[in-house]
Amino acid sequence: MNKHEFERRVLVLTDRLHTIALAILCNEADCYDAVQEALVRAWMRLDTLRQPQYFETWLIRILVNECKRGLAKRAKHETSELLDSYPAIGTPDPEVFDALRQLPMQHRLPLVLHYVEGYNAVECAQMLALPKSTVKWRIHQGKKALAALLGKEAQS
Amino acid sequence: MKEIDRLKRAFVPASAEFHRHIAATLDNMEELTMRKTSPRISVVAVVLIIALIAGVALAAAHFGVLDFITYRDPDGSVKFNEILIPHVQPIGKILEGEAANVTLHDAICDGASMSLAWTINNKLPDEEVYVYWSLAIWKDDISVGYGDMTPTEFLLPGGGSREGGITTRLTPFLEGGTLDVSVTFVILAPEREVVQVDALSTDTDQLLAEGKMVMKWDSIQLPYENYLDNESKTDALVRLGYMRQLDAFVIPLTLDVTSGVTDILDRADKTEVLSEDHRMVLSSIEYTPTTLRYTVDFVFEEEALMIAFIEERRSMAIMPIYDESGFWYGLAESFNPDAPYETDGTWVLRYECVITDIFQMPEEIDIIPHNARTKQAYDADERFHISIPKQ
Repeated sequence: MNKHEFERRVLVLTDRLHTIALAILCNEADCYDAVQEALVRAWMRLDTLRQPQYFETWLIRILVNECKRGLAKRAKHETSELLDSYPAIGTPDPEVFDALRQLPMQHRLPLVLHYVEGYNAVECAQMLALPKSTVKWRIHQGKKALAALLGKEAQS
Repeated sequence: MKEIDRLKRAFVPASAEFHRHIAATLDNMEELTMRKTSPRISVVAVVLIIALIAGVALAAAHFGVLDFITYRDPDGSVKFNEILIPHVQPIGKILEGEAANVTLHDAICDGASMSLAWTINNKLPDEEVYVYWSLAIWKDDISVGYGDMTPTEFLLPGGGSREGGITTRLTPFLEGGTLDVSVTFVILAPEREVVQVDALSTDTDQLLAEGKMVMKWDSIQLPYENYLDNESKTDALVRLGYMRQLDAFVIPLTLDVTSGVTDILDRADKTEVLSEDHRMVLSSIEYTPTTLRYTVDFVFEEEALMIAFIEERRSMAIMPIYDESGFWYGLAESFNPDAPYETDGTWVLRYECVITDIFQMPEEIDIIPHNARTKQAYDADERFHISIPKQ
């Protein structure tokens, strides 16, 4: 695949890359960094891509890994000041992102992988290196917590 | 399902600014790639220099286990845990097969985790191969760790290679001694047409029915009922005619646990804080060169008090509060209790925090139950301060 073809395919996928990064990071600014870093890594490792038709899945895998790195970096830098200065996310439902941010990470990540990205419990377990039963439990707990948080928002 | 529908609808197409950012990234790809490769050269150089200073005969010119536990700051500087250098155990085993070569480079094994680095090369000139690996760890014939790769990795023909490895947490933490480790690599080649489908695809069953080998995400899909009892995935792939086995390497290793676990509970300024409706107890805190772990219990005299506490502190975390510069010590994960337990007429909520892949042990930490979102403490008196001795 040459650079022109790489660029063409990335541009087609831009919205989807943004959605995946935002689902995991819940922060518009971090999405910029994560997607950029993923694209650079992908370009550098393009020789490991077997066939061009697998490009989308291959690139998304790299992006998800990059988002995990982004979460670790944020753990280093996150302070209350930074949290207060999170840029607004272009969403029709900011309360959802507000609730997502409040979820513990061990619940939030399986929840977004499962419900937003559509992975089943087995696939989530593979990605998170956890037993399937643990992933199912965390998805269940995450869903309950999200419902409680959104319910609380509605009441207030 | 209302909240799930809201979750899905909350995501909208990217902004025009984001699209411009992606376009600019693509325009500047050559420059960004150069920036990225430069720090990697620095890592190797730094590792080599420090290895020489430490007098450790590290074969650091190639990929090795220390590559796992490096961290690059957004400013480009590289950090890694220098304390780990004396703990690197060279392995240097090369196994040659018909289709692939496997090289085990080196390992680190302290009382909390084991990391292992390898490289696999495809020797076939015109056929790609698939690699599965697994490992099992025992101490005195008791299993203390396990890991496997459920996704599939493939290697391109004509010398395609993959640098890889694993870090596995040991359970329980260990105090010295030796570990028996068995690492297995199985090299396979496809016997059927490989069809890659998107992770959200619903075509898997149809494609399997057509006799195709389906790669969903990066995992080969098999109908669950095609597994036999105690059958591995590689055995099932071969038995069902999806793959043929080219090589299988089973590599036994004996590794030393080069560091024990240091209990530092006695270095805490206190281990119990009394509140109106509960006690907060620092039950344990211990560390190894790679890992820091502590457990905090909240103890209640009545179940109703505990339920009210859970409701009030739904977003509570007990990860350490970092210093003012926001210094980051490793990968921290806080485990909330799945279920409280009752003992001696009291109710206990146990929280655990594990910080792994530490690249610099903090000199002291404060454990303060706080709101994970706002970072605000729930109670100013709820705080444990622990000084950590230099290793």
